[in-house]
Amino acid sequence: MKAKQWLVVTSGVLAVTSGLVASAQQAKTEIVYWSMWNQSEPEAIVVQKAVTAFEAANPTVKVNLNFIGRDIRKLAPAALDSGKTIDVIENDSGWLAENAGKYLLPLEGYLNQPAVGVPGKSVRQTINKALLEQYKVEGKIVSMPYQPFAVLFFYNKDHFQKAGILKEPTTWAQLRSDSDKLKKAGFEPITTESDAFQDVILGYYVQRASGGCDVLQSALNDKTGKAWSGPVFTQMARDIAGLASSGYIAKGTAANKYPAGEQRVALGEVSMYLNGTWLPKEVKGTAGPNFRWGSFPFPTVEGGKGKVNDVMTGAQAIALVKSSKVPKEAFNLVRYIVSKDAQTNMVNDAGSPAAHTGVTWSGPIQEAGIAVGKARRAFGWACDIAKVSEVGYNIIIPAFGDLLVGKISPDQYLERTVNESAQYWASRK
Amino acid sequence: MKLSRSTFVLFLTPAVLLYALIFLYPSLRTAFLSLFEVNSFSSTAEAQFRGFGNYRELFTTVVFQRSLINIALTLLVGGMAVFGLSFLFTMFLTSGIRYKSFFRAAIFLPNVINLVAVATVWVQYIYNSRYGFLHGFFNALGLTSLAELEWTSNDLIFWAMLLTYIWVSVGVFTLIILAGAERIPVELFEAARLEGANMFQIFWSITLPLIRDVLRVASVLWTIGVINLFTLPIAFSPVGQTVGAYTPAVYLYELAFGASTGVNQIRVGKAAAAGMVLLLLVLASSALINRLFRSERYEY
Repeated sequence: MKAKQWLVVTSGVLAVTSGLVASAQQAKTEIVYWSMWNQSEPEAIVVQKAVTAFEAANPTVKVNLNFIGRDIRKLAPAALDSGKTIDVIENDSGWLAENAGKYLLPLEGYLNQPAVGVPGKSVRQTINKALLEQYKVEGKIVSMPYQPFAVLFFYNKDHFQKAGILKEPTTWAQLRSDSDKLKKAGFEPITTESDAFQDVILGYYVQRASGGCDVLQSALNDKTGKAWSGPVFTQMARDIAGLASSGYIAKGTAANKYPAGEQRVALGEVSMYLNGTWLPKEVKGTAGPNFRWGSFPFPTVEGGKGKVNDVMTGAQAIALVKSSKVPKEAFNLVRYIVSKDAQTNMVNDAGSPAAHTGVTWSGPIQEAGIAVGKARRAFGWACDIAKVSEVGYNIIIPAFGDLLVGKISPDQYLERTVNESAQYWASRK
Repeated sequence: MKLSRSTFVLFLTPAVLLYALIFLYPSLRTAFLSLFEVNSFSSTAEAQFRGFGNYRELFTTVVFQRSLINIALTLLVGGMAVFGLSFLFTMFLTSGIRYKSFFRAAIFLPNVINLVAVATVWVQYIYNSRYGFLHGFFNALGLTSLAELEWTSNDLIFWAMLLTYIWVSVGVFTLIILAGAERIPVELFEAARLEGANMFQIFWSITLPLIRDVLRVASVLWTIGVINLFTLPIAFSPVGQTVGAYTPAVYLYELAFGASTGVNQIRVGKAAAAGMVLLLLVLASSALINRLFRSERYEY
């Protein structure tokens, strides 16, 4: 055959082959996955590994993984409204239920599928039950928790030792007494940020005082505002103001902008901080490897119904989108994200807690893991104050912040919260 | 050569289309959404008609009222500081000093730095009440009460943010006013000095009238920038928006898209109403400035 003919034949073979390859790739089912992590975060690397394991086990499926970051809360609803194809999304389980519930597919029909890496058990059986059932939409589970958090008091064990505190406080009176010992030993007992984490102090106190979050939810929705001067809030105002007047709130707390307060704990200036289980990881660079972290649950309060094993907890969770055309394949991917291997990587590589019942929390959050495992009751971030966020975050929390640092008295706090929330509801008419 | 009507239409059509696409249609749609209680931009199936209810609610919401006060204070107090300093620097730079280019670059430098980086440095270092720059500076002067001022507390955060905004803005407005001042013929200043005019008289009677147009442009730019102030308040509250530092644009953004902590119930209708209020504020203030700075022709 002449050279020209060889060229034509070779070109034809190449064209046919590449066409076959392209159509083979096109034949793969695609899952569009929007992740809440940023690409450089350790959690993102754990997710990427789980996706790779899923694709290896499912060669006809390709995952289009997008690391959107925290802006996913703003971008995902708008994208779904505009008809964009997204099959899997992630975020805080409370936010998913509250703000994205209408987009999500109930998972009841999928949870009994076999778990990956745990023969003989279903997916439902391998995930912490309290977390799985914490947030539902119309009574149905819509998301799989895979990176939980718990809110506890994190403290410096060296400070406690030097102050002669032998046991962690379990009551409000003990918290005050231990704060006094820390102050006498030259430490600042408690801090927080002025733009974050004040809400969990309020949420925990209300839960401990009333045994649940109903009192807070009722007050948030009270159109007259008068519920904010009820007995639970009156007692809370008195006790919180007592912390400030006794000098137990670190100087400069009013001006702390995240992460200034956290850094003060890591630098060994302040002893205790009510925060999420991410705290030790976030300040690892400042605290150093020799920092001895301890944690204890929020104490009970006088006359209160809440117990120390009621834990403020939640999780970053993964969910399927209702409009997905590949829900079976998408849930198959979710099985790999919540598999024992992926959850073990979450603990070891990302230093994060795990929702898998077969994976132990380790390092500085080991004690927190035990507390969550023993939890009698789980309740949401700041007792779900975000459910009426304009009242919660623009009225109640700013007033609480002023009370916490001693800028206003308990009576001024109660008057302000009653009047401003009534004014807000009047404006909604 | 006389241009035909069809040529006008041909050349104007792209600009008109662009204007309609990126301004007119979004404005009309926003005005429409502002009359409803709705939680989605594109799907209005569950929308409830509220008439002007969103506007009524907006103006009686304490946080929005506070945000309007914040931009009013920024406009007036911040404006006086920025323009006052800009004039001062202009006089300094036009006085014949050596190394004028260096000083001009130094004055403009804050404007070049990314605003988020600026806010982070000011919030976490300069304003830190225990080891920050201002803490050390005031301590060195023996002013301990100023040294321990909690600049980023809820009470003072607005003023802290305003001070940073002034620092960032002075450079660009100095350059604008300087560009106008440098167009004035030098002979006018020389003649004024020969006649015995002092620096203030020269500034008031010669410089100011002849840079009127430049001042008008600068005032419009300042006003629009302040009314739409967004990045700095957000950067001054890294996690949750501090109530004292709210601006209308930030409140609008939280209502439209939710916040990580803070307002996270999406209310597009109320957000749209806030957007319309901002649009009207910009139009009204631009019209007012144009009226105050009516053009006069000077021959020289």
